[in-house]
Amino acid sequence: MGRYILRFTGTGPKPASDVERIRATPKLTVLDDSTHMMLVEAGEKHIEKMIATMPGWSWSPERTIRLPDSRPKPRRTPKD
Amino acid sequence: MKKNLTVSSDTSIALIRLSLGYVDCLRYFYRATTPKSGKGIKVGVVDTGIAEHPDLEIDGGENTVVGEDKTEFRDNGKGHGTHVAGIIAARGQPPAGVRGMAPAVTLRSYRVFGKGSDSASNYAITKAIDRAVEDGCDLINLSLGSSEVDEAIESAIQYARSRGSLVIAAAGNDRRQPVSFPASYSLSLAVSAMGRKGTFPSATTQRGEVASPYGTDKKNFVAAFSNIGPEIDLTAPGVGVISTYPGGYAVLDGTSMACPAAAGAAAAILSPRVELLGLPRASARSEAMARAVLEQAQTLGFGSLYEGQGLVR
Repeated sequence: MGRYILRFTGTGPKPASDVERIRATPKLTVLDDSTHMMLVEAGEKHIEKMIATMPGWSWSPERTIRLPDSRPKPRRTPKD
Repeated sequence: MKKNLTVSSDTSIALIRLSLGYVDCLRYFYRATTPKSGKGIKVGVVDTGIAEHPDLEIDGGENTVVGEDKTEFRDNGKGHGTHVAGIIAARGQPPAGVRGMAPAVTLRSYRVFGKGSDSASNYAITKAIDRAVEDGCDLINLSLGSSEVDEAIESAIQYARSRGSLVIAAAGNDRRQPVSFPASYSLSLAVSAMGRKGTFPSATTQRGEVASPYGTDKKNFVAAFSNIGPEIDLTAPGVGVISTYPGGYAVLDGTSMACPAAAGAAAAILSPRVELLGLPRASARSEAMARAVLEQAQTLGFGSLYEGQGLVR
């Protein structure tokens, strides 16, 4: 099981019928949703298979991005 | 500068008092900022949130971190977004405060980093970009990035462009490495960081970021930390930048600082362009906005891999 972003890339908000279908999928938990997306927890193969049958949708794994380090630092470090 | 310093309990380090009237690299290049700069432009800052601060006026926003209260779009405790916001939109006046590039913009905060957290989910970032577009933001500032391309964020940037919004992104601070994503994406405007000798005290850490190439004016340089590459569209001041910070003010370095400098400059350029801002919110609008900003860039002589079209003036 992993966390995946399902994104509707078609015109307008995500279709209600598609949302219903995703929500009704066994072994899939919807963690959050927005106008164009749903964040779900499910098996990768399961997601891949389901999205292949849903035109206008794409999927990708959830990832994290680190906060850039903007603190000034000396370029030379003390010798041990 | 002290070298080989070992910090112990009895170490005494002299601090230099931060003067808010100091001419840092941002104020050196942008002296003519007025209280009305940026009027009519809505800017979304997708970051760690923006703290309450006497120099900042926040129109609203959203926290898109899953599991957190969506109304908590204030600073998450890290200060990064508050500094970024001040570079764009601070409304103070030295010596009591600081002024950003475009104080009259409508500023919105989209918090994508969890409370006290140093990491953001691509889902939260994607949702924040979507939300900023839906809220009518003309410019979306992304002072964040990663070496990995992300399909969901790409899709949100496509959506932004298709709805007339322009995304401006930081090139990254990996010391001359390739431009980070999403700055590397063709529909973003990628910003590198430059600095200028004499705009920071000589005994400060900023001295370590002076590196070639130098510009036609030899005091100007591309910051040693800045990523570079053919995807760079613009350069902007990002070394020793004074801006708002939770509880006061701070000096930070990074393409994270250069990005809002470019966004603020873009807001100031676009503000009087009513014919352009009045276009229907579609791709033609965002393309015209990008063109208008890039046309105002002037080379500093660094070369296109380092500065793209140059500094927005």
